[in-house]
Amino acid sequence: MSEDRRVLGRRTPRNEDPRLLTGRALFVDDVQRPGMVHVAFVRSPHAHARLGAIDASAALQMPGVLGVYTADDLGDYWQPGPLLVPPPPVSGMEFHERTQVPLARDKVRHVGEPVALVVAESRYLAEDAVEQIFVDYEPLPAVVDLVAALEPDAARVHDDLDSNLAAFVPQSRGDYAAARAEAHLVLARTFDYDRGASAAIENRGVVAEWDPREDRLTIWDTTQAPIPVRNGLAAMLGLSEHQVHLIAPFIGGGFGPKIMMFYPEEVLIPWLALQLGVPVKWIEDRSENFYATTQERGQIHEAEIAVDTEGRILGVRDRFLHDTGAYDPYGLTVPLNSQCTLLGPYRIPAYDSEMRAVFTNKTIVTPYRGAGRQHGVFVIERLLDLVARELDLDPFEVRRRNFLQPEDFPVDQTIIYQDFQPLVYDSGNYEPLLDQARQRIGWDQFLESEQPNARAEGRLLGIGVVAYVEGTGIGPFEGARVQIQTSGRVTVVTGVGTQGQGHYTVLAQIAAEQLAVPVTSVDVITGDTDQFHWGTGTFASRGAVVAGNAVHAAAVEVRAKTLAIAARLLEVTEDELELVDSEVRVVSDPTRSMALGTLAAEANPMRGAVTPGTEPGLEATRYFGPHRGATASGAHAMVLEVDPETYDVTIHRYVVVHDCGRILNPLIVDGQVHGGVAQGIGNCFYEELVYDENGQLMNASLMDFLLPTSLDVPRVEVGHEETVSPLNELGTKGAGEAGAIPTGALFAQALENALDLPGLEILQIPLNPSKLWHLVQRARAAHTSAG
Amino acid sequence: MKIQGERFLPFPRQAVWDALMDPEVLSRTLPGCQKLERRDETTFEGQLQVAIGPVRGAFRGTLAMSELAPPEGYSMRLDGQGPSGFLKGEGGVELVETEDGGASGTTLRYDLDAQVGGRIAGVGQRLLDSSAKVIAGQGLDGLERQLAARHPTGDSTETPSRSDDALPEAPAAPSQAAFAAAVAQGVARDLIPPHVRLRLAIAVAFALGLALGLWLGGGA
Repeated sequence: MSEDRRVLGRRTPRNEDPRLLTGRALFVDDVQRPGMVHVAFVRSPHAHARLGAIDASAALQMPGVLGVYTADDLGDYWQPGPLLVPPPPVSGMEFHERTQVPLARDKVRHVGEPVALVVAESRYLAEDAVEQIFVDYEPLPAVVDLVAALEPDAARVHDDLDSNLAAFVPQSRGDYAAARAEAHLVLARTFDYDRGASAAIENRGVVAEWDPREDRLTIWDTTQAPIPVRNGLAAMLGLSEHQVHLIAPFIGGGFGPKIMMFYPEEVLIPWLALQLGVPVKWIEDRSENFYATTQERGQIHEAEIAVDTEGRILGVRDRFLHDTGAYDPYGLTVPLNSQCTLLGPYRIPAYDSEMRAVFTNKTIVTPYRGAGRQHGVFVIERLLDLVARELDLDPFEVRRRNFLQPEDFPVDQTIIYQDFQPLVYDSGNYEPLLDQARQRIGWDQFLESEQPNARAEGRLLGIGVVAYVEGTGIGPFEGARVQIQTSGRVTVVTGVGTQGQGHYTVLAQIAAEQLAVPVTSVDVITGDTDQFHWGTGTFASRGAVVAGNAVHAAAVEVRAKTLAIAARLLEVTEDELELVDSEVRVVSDPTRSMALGTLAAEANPMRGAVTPGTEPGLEATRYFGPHRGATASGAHAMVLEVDPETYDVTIHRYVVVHDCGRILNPLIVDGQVHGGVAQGIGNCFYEELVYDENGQLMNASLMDFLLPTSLDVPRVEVGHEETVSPLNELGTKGAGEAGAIPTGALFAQALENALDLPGLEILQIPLNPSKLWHLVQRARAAHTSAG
Repeated sequence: MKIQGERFLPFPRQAVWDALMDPEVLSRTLPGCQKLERRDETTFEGQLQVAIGPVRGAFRGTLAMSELAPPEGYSMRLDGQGPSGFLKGEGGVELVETEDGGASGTTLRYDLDAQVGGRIAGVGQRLLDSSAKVIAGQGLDGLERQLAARHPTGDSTETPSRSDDALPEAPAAPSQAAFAAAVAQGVARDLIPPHVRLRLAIAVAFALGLALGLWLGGGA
């Protein structure tokens, strides 16, 4: 194949966009079935309370109400959800499994926990009936603060546990005490990184329909993991996996909370469809989403760094608390990511980390874009900035001195990552990232003229740069089936779902590259369990790596089959053939050719015999399971301005230099990075879930939970480096979360640079103008009293 | 959250006390009140329809009075529950005989420590204070109207024979627009930090829901 025919690496427009932009894409709420009934939930207004009597008598008499269900009505179906991710194989580890239940029994543990449900002829009637269900609660003290939660006299979220400790994971390498003893400088700080909500445009939703004639259950579900949810629901409902057809159609944003599986609603709606024999629908409203869809991010780190006279890291010690919310169904993925990602792109000879996960009376915590990585990045980047300040180094120099070097790879960090494999960086080259970021943001010119000129006008401009790594593309596996149809079009089927990332394009490009067809001639089918039987899901920035390499392997096999049959029919050897423009032709005589569609028909003969030992059709199915994840990396830089009166912050420029190995489609990587940066900026300065001391969420609406708008997010300039991964054929790494990971650390550094106050240290995220003002006042007061 | 304030009513203290002890009067005072019944000497049970924006539904509540010291005041505990959340409050009402610019009358002081939870807390936290003030004001306006109907001259110490027809009806729940204007004034005064891009009109609609929930506390 000649070089100009390559489709991988090109800015190929997205195959899915015409459908999405013209409103022809199916979302779960578009599903309408004859006779469909609707569900609304009664949810706890208390963060922590004993559950008393539930009086549904008035609701049951309302016209159009078909039933009211509480925990007691579920019989044996009432079970705590499965533990989705088991605890890691780390010695000295402690883990207490307490998973969510479909409807609360005896006790409610967070505001919004479902207590009962109403089935009615319409959602309106169901909502009206919810208002007529009266529940007795005996309020209990709420566990809200992470530190207080572990005190001996704290109320307990789970009465049968001795404390609110959900897990304890110590991981270390090297001898931190020795490192500290020989250090030139030791700095210790407390870092606080609080919660946010992913706030996808599309909330969750489930529709389920039992067909008694087919003996099959069809479920439409906004999940990122269609096949595992299909398997789990089949088991819970006593059905064969082949009796459950789960469709995760177009989904308006996943971001992680939709990889959480077996939510109460997800378990209850299919059960109701079986019980009632009619289609049942529930669509989460925005208000429910703030309480019932999982959240992320509350952690407090007490961290210490030991460096030599040159600012080289000798060791890092970290003790951190992780808020897991009322239950811990997703195991320890998030805090493990924090624990591992703290090591960053740096050589850290001694690392002593202890993580404690804590139950609180708040919404459950599971991964949300970044999935704990930003906490680790925040801690190490902030520590390095403090070191730089003490030793009078610039932010580039302190990082450069500590970077792992290209000859160090693969780097075995020895601690255990979220995939339970030792954390090994496959490849990387970090200095070029920093260099490119410096040039793109205009660092030198900013410091020489832009910043001093602005300051002379009374304007506070600041600049920052940070680096990070991101573990991506973990196993266990994905699979794909590639088939050439008799029309000449190519079909790619895979088990991963799509939530807007561009699977319809990138997976099509991979097949198109092998089969020499236009990308628009490849139809990608995802998220339908009747089309593909095996798969894990879309998470951990793994779709392009794991499903992508499965598609690649299958397409390579189909290419081989195509050439083999063409060689037989054209009576030449395979190496005399080339695949070009949707046909196979003889290199020396291009007039002798056969279209791919014709070859597909020939491969599926109606008479005669398929050659023994071969299979019919131009089709192949392949699986890819990486031994471990591929480590992507990057550098972010920004220029911001602080309003000296209001402490509002405007971000003027934002640069990302990103290395996700071989780039399959720069357009899509850029889009992923832009979206991630927007969420990262939201996380820094706009979005915060504010809980009061009673565990009440005080800003549960998009009026008060501020999402950044197009006016708040600058144009993001993206540069690329390509350090291929040796772990897969395509040489690629994941890119889904990179934009959101280092934003907090960068924002903090740039703010300090802008405000230029001795003693001002930004050690918390999210911020807002009021918090920033207070931090500045405190720094000024401390400086004055010290001076 | 503290809900507190006072209002001068140009009526004798005993008359005000009687009105506060009369569910008939109270139910006509309180906008959106579906029913208010006396369960025993010191406890009222009521139901309030709240139907604004996302905070809507029937709030059922009890108002339990204690330490009754007629006609000087009482302590109270409030428990309300509805699908959009709960509200609880503890505090007191004090009636003080007052001269106000030559007119004699009664100053009603109220002071309540309130806690809200569930959706009602989630959608309008920052507007609670303003909303509570507005609602309390409306409740007291209603009380004053009821008192005026019972005591046309304003100086009678005797409760006239009861004629329900003669009493003004409770105002319908105020229109969203009227309420919005009142809350907007309160909000504009208290002020929103500059970075908060909240659209006032929408905010106010939510506030209305909230405030009605709180009204039991403010109006009692």
